[in-house]
Amino acid sequence: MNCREIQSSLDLYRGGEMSGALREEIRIHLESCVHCRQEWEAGQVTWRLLDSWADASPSEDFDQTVLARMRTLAAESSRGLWQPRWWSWKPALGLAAVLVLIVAISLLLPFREIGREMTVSVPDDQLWNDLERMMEATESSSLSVYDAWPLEETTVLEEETGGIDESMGS
Amino acid sequence: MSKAFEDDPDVQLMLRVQGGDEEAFAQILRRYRRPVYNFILRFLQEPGRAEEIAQDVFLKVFQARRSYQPRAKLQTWIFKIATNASLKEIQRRKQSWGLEVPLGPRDEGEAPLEVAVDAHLDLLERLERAEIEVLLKNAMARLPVKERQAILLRKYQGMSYREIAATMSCSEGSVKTYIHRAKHRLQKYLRPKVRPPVSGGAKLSPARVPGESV
Ligand SMILES: [Zn+2]
Repeated sequence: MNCREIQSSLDLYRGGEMSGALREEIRIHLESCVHCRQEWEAGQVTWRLLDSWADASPSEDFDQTVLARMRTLAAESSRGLWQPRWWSWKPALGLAAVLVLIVAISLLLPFREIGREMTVSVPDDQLWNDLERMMEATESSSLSVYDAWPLEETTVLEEETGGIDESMGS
Repeated sequence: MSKAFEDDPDVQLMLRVQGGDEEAFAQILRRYRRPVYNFILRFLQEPGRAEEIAQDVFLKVFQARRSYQPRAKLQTWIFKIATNASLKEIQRRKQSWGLEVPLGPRDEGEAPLEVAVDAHLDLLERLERAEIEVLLKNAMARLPVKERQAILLRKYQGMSYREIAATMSCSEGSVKTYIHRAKHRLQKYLRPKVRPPVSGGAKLSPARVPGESV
């Protein structure tokens, strides 16, 4: 190995994460090469300096906050609002709900006018109930974690967690 | 399930979370909140925001529970979510502020700490911890994001190059490069501020060698 390769291997050398032969090669090199030895010593000092950056504590209600939000999600899940991957089409759902609402209102307005003079059956209850449910679903989802996790990120994450499975599978 | 991970207690916990066990999720939370929070905090250096993002990471773990497959350490999976979340925050900052990261505590014009650092002595006896932290924060904030993530995972999570590669979705070769460059940049920044060893220097042997008695 040349000096450049030695220096980029010093971190693995420090951790003892290399074969015995390689370790011996580096040890011998460090004894004879002043430049690499200085790099090794400086690296050791830096590594120890990093030890003095102490851990901080998260706030005391960290767990409670997470668990409370988790329960909200779980409740949505058990009510059937939260299905696997459903949030990935949440924006489309919101848009669809708004469009359906606009179309529905535009269709129903003439009937309301007529309804003053003649008896017309009220708009299909089922339709309104469905719309309300959809709007509720859209609203409740935007209150929770979804704001912090826009669509693109969810997609990326899912792709990448898939990546773990492949790369770490063997 | 991969043989290597089936006995991992973390993996067992996560499988219980998949089955709807809230206590198992609470245990994962207790085990990982501190490392995840500190990783994000050291990366972003913004305590309030770090806490929010760390909380989101755990909710993401919960949300993605059904897609979790025990083919890697749970630590790798959780930190993958944490690194993604931190990168997302950096992108958000760039968009809203035109900045990559705030540089942490200002140190312009600050006099170098005229303290001798000897690798054989306890540094804490010679430097005030708070002063070192300011130096380290400034040094870390100057690293490119990939290098910063790699060195934080290495130093404070004790991950192997293979684990870091899986966490950051890159090759082990890239991890080696990131860590080498990060250490070099940290040294370059810290060296003028902290005098190098005066005597002898560091030992030439690695600190620990797995499988060997020292
Ligand atoms: Zn050399």
